[in-house]
Amino acid sequence: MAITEIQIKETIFKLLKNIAPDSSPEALGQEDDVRETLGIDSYDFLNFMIGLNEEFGVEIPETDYGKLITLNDMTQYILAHAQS
Amino acid sequence: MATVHLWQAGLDCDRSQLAHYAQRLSPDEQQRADRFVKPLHRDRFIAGRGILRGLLGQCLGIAPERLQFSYGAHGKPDLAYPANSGWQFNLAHSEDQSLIALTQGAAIGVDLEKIRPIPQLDQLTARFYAPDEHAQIMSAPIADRETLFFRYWTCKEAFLKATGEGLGKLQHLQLALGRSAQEEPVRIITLPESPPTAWQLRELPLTDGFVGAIAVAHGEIAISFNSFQSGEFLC
Repeated sequence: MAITEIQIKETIFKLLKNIAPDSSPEALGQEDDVRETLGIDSYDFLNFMIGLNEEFGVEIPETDYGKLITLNDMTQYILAHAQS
Repeated sequence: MATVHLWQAGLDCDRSQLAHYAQRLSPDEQQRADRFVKPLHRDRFIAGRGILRGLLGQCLGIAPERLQFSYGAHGKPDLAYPANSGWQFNLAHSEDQSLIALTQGAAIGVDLEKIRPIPQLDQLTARFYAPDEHAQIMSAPIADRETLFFRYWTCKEAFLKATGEGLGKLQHLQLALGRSAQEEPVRIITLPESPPTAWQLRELPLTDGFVGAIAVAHGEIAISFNSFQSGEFLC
């Protein structure tokens, strides 16, 4: 069964809570810059990318990190690559 | 010789300091501050930008609130007004600490990190660091590995911030660090594809529990380093 946007977002929130326990990712808007809005630095962002890879089995090349800015970017990227 | 002015500043300010710094922010910076979910992150952003504007304003002889910034593809800020001043700057923050570096006529990048536990150290280092760096970190005494990881991290990040490149180039920059910070100069083994330039990469003496580094596109640099903690008015 194909993964849904809701499942992807729930997993993203869980991963963000893991790397930034005092953040509130549920409060993110679809087009908010995730790093900026939650105050996540580049090292934590790298861990977040690894978490996405492990959770969804999607290999995210480093050259694509710059495309994953907003919650919407991340959800669409996972949807596209998890189904391909 | 390029002179680099470097400040380490605490970001946790009292309300009057914060109000002072907030008045300096541009409308887009104020909007960015308002988007932070947590007040702590918002206040540290305001303090960092306020201090940066104050220091740049002093160097340029201009009111802090008149400065305008533009942003590169990976978010690196540059001076848009006044244009063509020759001043370049970079800032970094981790937890309650920030680093601000200013110089003239040379690309510059800084980074600092609080040393913290790394649950997947071996995996992370194998994927994102060069094989020699990975081997050095994993063969160090266990108690030293996280510090060594973040020493490499801040050196690489400072360089990538100076060039305006993102984390995608992390593995293409290979360095060699000595046994302890500042004991030996950082040796650059390989650089990502970027215009051939002489680079200076230095580790910095910071507050306990933090490591940091600076990268400057210049053959020779002199660093003027100052440290201010919370509760002091830096500018």
